[in-house]
Amino acid sequence: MSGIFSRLRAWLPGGRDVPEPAPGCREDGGLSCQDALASVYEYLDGELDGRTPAEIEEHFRVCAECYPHLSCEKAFREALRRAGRGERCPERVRLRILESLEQEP
Amino acid sequence: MTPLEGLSARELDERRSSFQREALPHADAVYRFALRLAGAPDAAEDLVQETFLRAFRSWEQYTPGTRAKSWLFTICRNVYLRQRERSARHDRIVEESVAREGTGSPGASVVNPLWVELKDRDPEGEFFGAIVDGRILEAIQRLPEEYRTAVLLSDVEGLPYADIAEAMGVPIGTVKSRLFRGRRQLQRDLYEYAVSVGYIPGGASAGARGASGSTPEDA
Repeated sequence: MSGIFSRLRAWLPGGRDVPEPAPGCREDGGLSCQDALASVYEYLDGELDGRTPAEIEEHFRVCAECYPHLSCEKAFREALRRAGRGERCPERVRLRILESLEQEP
Repeated sequence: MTPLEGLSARELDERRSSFQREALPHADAVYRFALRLAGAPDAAEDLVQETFLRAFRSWEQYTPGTRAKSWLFTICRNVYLRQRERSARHDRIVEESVAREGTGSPGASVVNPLWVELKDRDPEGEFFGAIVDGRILEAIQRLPEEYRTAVLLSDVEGLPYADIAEAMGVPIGTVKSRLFRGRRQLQRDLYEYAVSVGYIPGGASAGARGASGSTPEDA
């Protein structure tokens, strides 16, 4: 009975204070929460090699504790990217560059 | 490739064509990077022009097929830093804080303190999507240049660590450290803003602000 309730609590907001291993975490032979979280930036930056990205994706897919953190980091990066890519180089600057090339050397 | 002075008229034309084909398409990316470095459109425009001129003059140093965009960012940042030195407006506080940084991976907790605060109220960070671009850019501008450049080149421009390391003249470990610190500082900045304008309900920070009587910023 307590096992069912503790798993239910895992899905409710504020349901627990201490991260519990979810299916796929180390106790089941998969990656631990600690390992997955330590790699989250390298994973999102696409800088991990080998089998590790697949293991981390799997962990975040199955671990109720870690999944929101990945979503949070993704939302953050998306906001940065959207905000940072808004401006275009003014046409007059492009023209000035082309003119200066013509004047070289 | 030979320096420009030694080229025939036709070779010069070809050089210009290849430069326009490979380098000029990155004008938007270089411009927005210059804007974040210089902090103002006028200065950014001068910086962009200077960048492309220097790039063209040293086009023989560029290896065709490698990432022209990364190479242009490198030139742009170097031009900016030289200009900053000449105008003698160092930020000594920033220099000192950057000098304290290590080159290894950060020893801080892997659990982002922000996640702990957001756990019940906005665990997936949806508030980031609610913040207007201008406010996010403001937060980016508040970062020390070394963190700002790392975050821009990675998160806005999508450069790999190796290219960022080359652009900034530092080891990859330093790039990771600057990314880590820059992102955390940005997240903290944007989180506090979101709480102050009510994008995130409740929160210890909001309570403290309420008690001290300060008003939320205009959204």
